[in-house]
Amino acid sequence: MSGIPKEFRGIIWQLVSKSKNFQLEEFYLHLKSESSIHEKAIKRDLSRTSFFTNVEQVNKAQELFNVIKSYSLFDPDVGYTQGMIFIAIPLIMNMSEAECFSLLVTLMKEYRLRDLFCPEMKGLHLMLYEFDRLLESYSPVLYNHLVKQGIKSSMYASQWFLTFFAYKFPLDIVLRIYDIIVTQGMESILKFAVNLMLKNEASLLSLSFDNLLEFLKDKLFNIYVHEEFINFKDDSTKRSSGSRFSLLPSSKSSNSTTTTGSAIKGQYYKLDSLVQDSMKINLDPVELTKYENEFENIYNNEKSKVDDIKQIKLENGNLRHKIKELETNYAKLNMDHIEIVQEMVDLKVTLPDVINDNEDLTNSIEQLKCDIQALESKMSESPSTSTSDINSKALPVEIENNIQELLKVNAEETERAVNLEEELSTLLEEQNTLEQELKKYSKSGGWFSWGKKA
Amino acid sequence: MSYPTPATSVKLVLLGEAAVGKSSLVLRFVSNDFQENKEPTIGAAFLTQKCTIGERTIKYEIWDTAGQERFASLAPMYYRNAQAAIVVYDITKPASFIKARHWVKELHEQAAKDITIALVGNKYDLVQDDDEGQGEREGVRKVSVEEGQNLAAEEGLLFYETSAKTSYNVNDVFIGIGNKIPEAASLASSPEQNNNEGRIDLSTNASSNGNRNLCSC
Ligand SMILES: Nc1nc2c(ncn2[C@@H]2O[C@H](COP(=O)(O)OP(=O)(O)OP(=O)(O)O)[C@@H](O)[C@H]2O)c(=O)[nH]1
Ligand SMILES: [Mg+2]
Repeated sequence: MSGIPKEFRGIIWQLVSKSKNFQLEEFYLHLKSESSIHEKAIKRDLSRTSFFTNVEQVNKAQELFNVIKSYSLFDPDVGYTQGMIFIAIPLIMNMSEAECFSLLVTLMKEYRLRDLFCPEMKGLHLMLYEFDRLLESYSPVLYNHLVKQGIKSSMYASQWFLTFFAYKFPLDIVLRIYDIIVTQGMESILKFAVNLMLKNEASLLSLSFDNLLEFLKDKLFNIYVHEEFINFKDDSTKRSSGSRFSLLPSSKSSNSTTTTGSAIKGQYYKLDSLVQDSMKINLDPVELTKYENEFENIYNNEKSKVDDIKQIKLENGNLRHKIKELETNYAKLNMDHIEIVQEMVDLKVTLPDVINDNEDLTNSIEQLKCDIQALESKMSESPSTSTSDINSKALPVEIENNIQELLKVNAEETERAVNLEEELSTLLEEQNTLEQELKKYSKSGGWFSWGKKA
Repeated sequence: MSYPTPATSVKLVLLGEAAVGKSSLVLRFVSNDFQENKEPTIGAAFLTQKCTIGERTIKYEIWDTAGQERFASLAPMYYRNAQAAIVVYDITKPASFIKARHWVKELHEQAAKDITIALVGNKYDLVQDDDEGQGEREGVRKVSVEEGQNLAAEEGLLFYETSAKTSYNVNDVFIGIGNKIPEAASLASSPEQNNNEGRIDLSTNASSNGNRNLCSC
């Protein structure tokens, strides 16, 4: 049992997983040309994955980008999640990009890898739970030690499961793990995980929190370093933990070092032993189902608890907000109250003065009213005299002129009357004289008589 | 106390959008190193570093979390019993500042009441002028100093702009946090207690309050 030969790996993975799907591959060609909202993030993370800055096949970077981007379009609920790149790297190294896409889709859907990446990451939590239970049953001592140290599996094993060990472990190992996952299903990753813990049990039991986490991060596989390299072990661990993506560098370093030693290519790690040991871990499907049910219960409980807590916290927050509001309102009212009381006191102090002033003012007003009345009555008399004065000055000139004129006319008339009376008397005298003369003449016989008329 | 105080542990968590430089800040603080292409963090990473501030020696137990939204469900485990948090954003990425706001809110709602939070705008080197002048390169900065300061003042946070690349202000963040963590609180949580499960550590809750106003900026 030495794993799938390198040259056939890609083909065999596809055959075993039945991922070959021309329709899907065709669809991929279509997706490849579309743009995704995750593009930026994918590009960013690809550039941060030094795998590509080191490797000769730089063109694979573009292919890998296409595959991951297309998957984010193909499965929008999952979109892009950090970790996917690590899953896809071993794939793209062994097949064309369309095939890689198709196999990725198969792993996600059929192997249920998707559950690990979906928004709530429920599949990841399930796997961590199953891992805990398995570890507990295989080595209660180790399990308890970890619990005592406050170390949870999610602190170190999340990245194992999310990347199929590709995040921190050497490529040789990762490829062998892939061989098993593809042929036996995703649960088999638990076998590797539990086996690694058991094989390192003694070391782990001797370590406490900080060192435990450090060890669990990238030293677990050291136990499978070939005896011939044990002398270089320290050196090589440094190298593999120092270089960012240890997939390639470690296999390369094994090549360069082996030239001096036994020259067995790629045998830096005892991969066969790793696989054999891991396969000894028994995953009873009945047990697994039991774990799954337990997890489901716990998960749902936890979730409703979290929801409750959220709800309560929200209400609490609202109430606290209200209390604060009320408190500020109360404080404001209190201030107003104090102000008003102060004002009242001030008023009470000044009130007698005000009353006095008021009385004074009332008196003054009375006085003024009297004065006004007096003035008013005076005012009502004076207007008529003044008007007659004005008339007596205006009229006399005219009237006097008239009177003067009339007097003149009168005088003239009187003179005329006097004159006329004088004329009349003269005329009467003349008549008398004439009558006497007439009488004289009539006595001497006259022709007519004036007698009758007198 | 006349005898030397033992190193006190401070649990610290880093939060912030993906690629803002959380892991780089920790790498700078812990190893005084910088990697141009730091890999994305999957899950979370744990590191420790001792730091002497005046008379006290503080051992920071740092959880560097994954920034991508998808991993948010894992974050509570790390901040739940943390005494300090660094919320990081990238001063050239406005979206990362919005995310920082959300983290601050979540911390205030879910984390220990007396948690010390530092708001950190990272990648300061990107806006710096090349020729060592005081000026800034124009147009690169997308989140102003004032925006950061205002958020920090509103929420009672420490505030720094840093560069993991040039190491500008990085140590200051940890010193600032150390100064703000009350002695009693860090003493109350001995390493054993701290490491015990991810449960809420009531002993840290009971100690000290009202330190939020001591903003050093
Ligand atoms: N110019 C510059 N680049 C930085 C700085 N800090 C980090 N970077 C770069 O930004 C990228 C992301 O940095 P990380 O430290 O991995 O970011 P992170 O916040 O840990 O990201 P996640 O682990 O995905 O959440 C890397 O390529 C770093 O080299 C900085 O201060 N200046
Ligand atoms: Mg990181």
